[in-house]
Amino acid sequence: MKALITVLMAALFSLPVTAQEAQLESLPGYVDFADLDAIYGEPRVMINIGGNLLKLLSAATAVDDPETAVMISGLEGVRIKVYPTAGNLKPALEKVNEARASLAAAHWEPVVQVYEADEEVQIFMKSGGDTIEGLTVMAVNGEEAVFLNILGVIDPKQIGKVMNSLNVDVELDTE
Amino acid sequence: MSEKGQPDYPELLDRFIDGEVTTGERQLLLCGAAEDPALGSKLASAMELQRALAGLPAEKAPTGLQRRLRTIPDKHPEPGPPRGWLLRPHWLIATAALVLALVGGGALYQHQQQEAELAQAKADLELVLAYLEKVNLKTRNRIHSTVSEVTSEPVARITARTLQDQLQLRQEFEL
Repeated sequence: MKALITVLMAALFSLPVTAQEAQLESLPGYVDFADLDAIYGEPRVMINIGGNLLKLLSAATAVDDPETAVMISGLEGVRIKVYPTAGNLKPALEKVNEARASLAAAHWEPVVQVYEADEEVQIFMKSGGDTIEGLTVMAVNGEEAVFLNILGVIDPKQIGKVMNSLNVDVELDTE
Repeated sequence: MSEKGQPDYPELLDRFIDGEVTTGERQLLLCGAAEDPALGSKLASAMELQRALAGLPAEKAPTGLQRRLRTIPDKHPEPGPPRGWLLRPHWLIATAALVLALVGGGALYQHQQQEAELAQAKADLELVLAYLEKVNLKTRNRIHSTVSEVTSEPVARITARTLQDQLQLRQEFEL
């Protein structure tokens, strides 16, 4: 029975990246990152994980790692686009500014803003009543432009624990 | 003649009933029946059947039909309604086995595909979290601290709720 449910769920959740993106668009925490493909080419990293797949992933990790499972089960979508900037920051910074304006208009709260000569970081959070509906991170420097959008319930303490449990390496090497 | 050099008695019996045996073949059958009581019994039945058929006022049944009738086994466990060849037990078993094999193979393939998708989703999520942590470190842990301050109370309640949902989901999976 369990296998049958799993197979059915897999059939339901096996959606291409574009379809998952379309699913996420209707969520309140969704942020429409402007397309920078024309300027920087194909993104170095592009990930869209929908809520259904996250639920399934949560269920799959529930037995071995309940803390991670709880963190994942609260999420409704995870998206990221990473472009290599190769020192050309200006187009990415313009897009960040555009996104920042639209986020403010949509009642997102700016929680972290860093302006430095060679780097800019903008972090916004959207709360809906007593819940967090989204977290948006935009970070641009001479190496890369990162546009990250997490939709759903987010607990930074849990994220830290999950980072440890998953052995996430922050020294990213995506070349 | 059979492959072993022995006369093909079943075939001869068939032809005997049809009245198609030669004198030599008839003699062969009689000699064989004298040596083999089982063959003798069959030959006696065949003779009775031949007499019965000859005595029928109606036209003699076609030879093909008679042959098909004779392929029916001598002993039946239970007399039942006529069945087509597709409905015979061994065909039913073979068909059921084939269907089960196809369904089982398909389910196994989908299960493996789903496992691969889950592994990919987990790797993607780790990558997204790695980028989040990378930005967090660049901003001197300001994502964790700021978001924690803003959301500590709601997240506690939300976490409890998602934990409850998670347990329910697990119970459904275990059923």
